[in-house]
Amino acid sequence: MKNFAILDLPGPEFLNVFGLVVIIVLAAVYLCIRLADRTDRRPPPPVPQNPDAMEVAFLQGGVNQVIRTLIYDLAQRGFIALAPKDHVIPTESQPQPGELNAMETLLLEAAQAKPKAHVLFEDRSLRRRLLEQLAPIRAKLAAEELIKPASVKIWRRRAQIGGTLIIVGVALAKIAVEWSKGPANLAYLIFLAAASVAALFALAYVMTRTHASRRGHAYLEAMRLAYGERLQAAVAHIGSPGPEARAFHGAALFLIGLYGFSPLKGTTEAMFAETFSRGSQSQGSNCGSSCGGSCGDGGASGGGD
Amino acid sequence: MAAIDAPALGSGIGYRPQFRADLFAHRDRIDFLEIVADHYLDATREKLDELDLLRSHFPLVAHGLDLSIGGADGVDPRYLGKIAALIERIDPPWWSEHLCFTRAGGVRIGHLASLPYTQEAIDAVARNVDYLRRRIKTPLILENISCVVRVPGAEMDEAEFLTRTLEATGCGWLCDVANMHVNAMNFGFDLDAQFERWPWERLVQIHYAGGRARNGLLIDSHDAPTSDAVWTLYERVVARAPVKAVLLERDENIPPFSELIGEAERARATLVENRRWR
Repeated sequence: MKNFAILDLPGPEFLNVFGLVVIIVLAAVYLCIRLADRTDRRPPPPVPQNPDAMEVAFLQGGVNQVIRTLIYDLAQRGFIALAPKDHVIPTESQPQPGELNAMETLLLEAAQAKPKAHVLFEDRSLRRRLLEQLAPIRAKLAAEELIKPASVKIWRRRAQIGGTLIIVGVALAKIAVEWSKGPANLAYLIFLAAASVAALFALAYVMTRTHASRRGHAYLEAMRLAYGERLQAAVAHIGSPGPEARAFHGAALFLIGLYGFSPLKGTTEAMFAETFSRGSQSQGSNCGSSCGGSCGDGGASGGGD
Repeated sequence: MAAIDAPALGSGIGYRPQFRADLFAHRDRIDFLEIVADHYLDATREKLDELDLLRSHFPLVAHGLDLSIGGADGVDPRYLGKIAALIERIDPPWWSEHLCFTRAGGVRIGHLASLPYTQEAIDAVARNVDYLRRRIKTPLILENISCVVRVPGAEMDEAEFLTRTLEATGCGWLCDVANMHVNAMNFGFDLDAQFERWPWERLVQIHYAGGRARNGLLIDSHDAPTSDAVWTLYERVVARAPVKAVLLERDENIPPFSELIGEAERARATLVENRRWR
């Protein structure tokens, strides 16, 4: 190792070089992950005339967003309600046979135990069964290259491993060289190496945390641009007796699918935003605490690609 | 022979952001959109995204307001540069402006002002069109405007002025049937009698709209449903001349979108009846 001149550099100069290495590694990691998703070479599909709320929800935030949308739907239809301490409880109203589809039935069954909101997101069995029901939607989105390709996950892992090996390897080499010369203060180098690896993992997480591919993001953005203003305006009429409120019901699921519960803050239905911001991360674009590192597969927590 | 070589676009609506969501929800019932060019000249990122979104979903044409094509002091090169950039961005089959002036002596008058119906005015328009064609190759079509007052000293009537201007410039015609009707009513000329004197061979696009009467004058205010009289004129024009596109203008008192679609579909039915559209 003594053949490597940079390892013999004095501390401050070595740290400059080490910082440069870290920057190059982070840039390489960014490029690896970015280039693994080249779905944006194609323009996004046309904005749908009648958006499917579940499709939008799944694309926007995976299973978590689907759960939010289903809960709002069932609450609107009077089958479940939000109770104190973030509990989701069934009401006395019972659906007629055939009134609910399979996913709605799964959610209603899960609500029979009066769980706290976060429990719904952590229920692996529920997530798995929802994913089974979502398989056709998932296949359709994958065929359109709207969800992240499997290559992103592969390259993320490769980039994380490779980047970590380079950063830690350079740091360890310097430590070995310095120790071979005698006692040395290497605390700052160790701290810097640890922080760099953390930054590398954070970068990889941020770049891959969403379910949608780059093409999928462009598609969601197009939908927001086309319909968002109207949906946001409609939120103002929640709870009012006028025709605007009736019109809103038609758009409500699409709104929740596209934005999550956050637009409901400040409305008579703000309790959804409050309850579920405690139950899961309220921005639909993330996988929530229960994702289990499986971002990119719809939050399957093992449901797999 | 057609005034310009461009595809037919069918029945469209003048785009206004207020009904953007409705537009996308009923995309299959609108054949094309016309954007007001001036709304996108110094556009924010969001407006440009909107423009790109519209362009990726609809055929677009651009309609300018403030070029002052009839201005004796020429076209503002900065304004023209912005229009050229917009036209390049959306690449429409044609674009349109009003046959009028909106600036004089360097002062913006904020209004579509009628040109004097004189040869001198025709020459000014021709000079300006020549100048702007050096920047913009996309065909320009010129729209007849509604007049509140007419400039004294006219050497010809509106039909002749328009015909000679289009001949001198080689431009196509954007026929605003509502403006024709308004001018006929307000200035008391017999549109039926002089119908054949208008330059139908140069027709490219039609605008139609509703207006209202105020103090005994008809105003082309784009704030009401198209009147029966304008529909009658529209139908006569479509039957008379090949037209590539017809467009509803509505700026104020915007009704439920279904009413706008109803008007656009009525206009399309006339196109289809006359084999101007598929």
